[in-house]
Amino acid sequence: MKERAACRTCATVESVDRADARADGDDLEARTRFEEVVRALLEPLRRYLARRTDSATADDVLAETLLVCWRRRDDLPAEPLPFAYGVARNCLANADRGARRQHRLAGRIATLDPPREAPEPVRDERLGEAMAGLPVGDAELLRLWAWEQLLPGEIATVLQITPNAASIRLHRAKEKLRGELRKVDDAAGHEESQEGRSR
Amino acid sequence: MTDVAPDQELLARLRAADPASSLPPAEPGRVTELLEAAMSDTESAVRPHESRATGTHDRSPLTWLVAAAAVVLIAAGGIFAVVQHARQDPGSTARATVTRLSPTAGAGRCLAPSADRLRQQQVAVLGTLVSVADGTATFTVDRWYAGPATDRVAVATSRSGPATLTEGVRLQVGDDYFIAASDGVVACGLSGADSRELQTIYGSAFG
Repeated sequence: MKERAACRTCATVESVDRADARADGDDLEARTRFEEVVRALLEPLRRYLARRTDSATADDVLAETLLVCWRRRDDLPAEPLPFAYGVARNCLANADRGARRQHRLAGRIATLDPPREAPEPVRDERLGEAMAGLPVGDAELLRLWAWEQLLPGEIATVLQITPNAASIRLHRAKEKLRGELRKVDDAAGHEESQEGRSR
Repeated sequence: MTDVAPDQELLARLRAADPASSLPPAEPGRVTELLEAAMSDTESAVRPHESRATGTHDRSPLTWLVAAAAVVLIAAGGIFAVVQHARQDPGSTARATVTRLSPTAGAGRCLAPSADRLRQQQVAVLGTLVSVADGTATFTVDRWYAGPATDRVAVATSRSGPATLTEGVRLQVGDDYFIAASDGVVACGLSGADSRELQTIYGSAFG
């Protein structure tokens, strides 16, 4: 899948006579098929977005993602979820860019930090700290692996890299996270022992 | 590999911290609304009309005109790229979809990175290195911080020896890099592999 599943690709869709297209059987069939596909994609997409941005942006980006998927329904592969995540990722990046134009703060925070209005805040503070210590790309690979439960080949589709690169980078990211967790645990242990001594 | 058990442990710990684990399902009414909104999009309503069976027969002359124009543009882009490449123009920056940059000239000393210095750069971007070939390192873009957004960033690299972004920054396909540049030249000290230090500087310059 070389073609970029980007939000902006939809802007080039052809414009022709559309008066009778809506009514014919092909259209109805396409709508029914799309509806079936989307009903299976919707909840994973909602969770994907809820993990990465605030609820208002998630809702907007979900609508935009579905719109792009509808426009590109002929390109949807047999396993459409990684493809749809790729679309959502690009739509979210566009939304971040737009927000940054209006307010220079927005974009980076949305991807770097855990979602601010997530339904349940991350309670594992040491894990949160360790994840924040990773390069952005590594943290995202780990999220796709653990939260979206994707295999390296599927992660490759989302990030538009080769499956081999996804596999190698995922392995390295896990190692880095273990290293960061050790650092955080060591620092916490050191603090605890110091507190114990001062008592 | 013997890391299956530690992997499971890591996976369990990450999953336990999943912020969306208790997200309630969407209201059925909202699902219908979203579906209707997407499928009522008129821009694409013509697409089912064209199938593998009908092929390109029904396309309007305008479509062919647009396609022809696109071919001309692509060809022109190719020629432009070749010419640029041949010239090795260190000042070249922008094509419609590619920002072309040159590495830091000479082996001068890098200035200390700072948010103030970063803010003065014309281009600032976070990208993933997708290929190094024919003296060009090509990055897909994850984030634009400054400068006109393009789809890709291309940095001229050495044809012999290891590919580098700036002095001492080796390039590895698949890795993420922060790249800052002015006048088409990559800024030393402000460009490098994605790291906590650069994240902090980019965060404070553009956050």
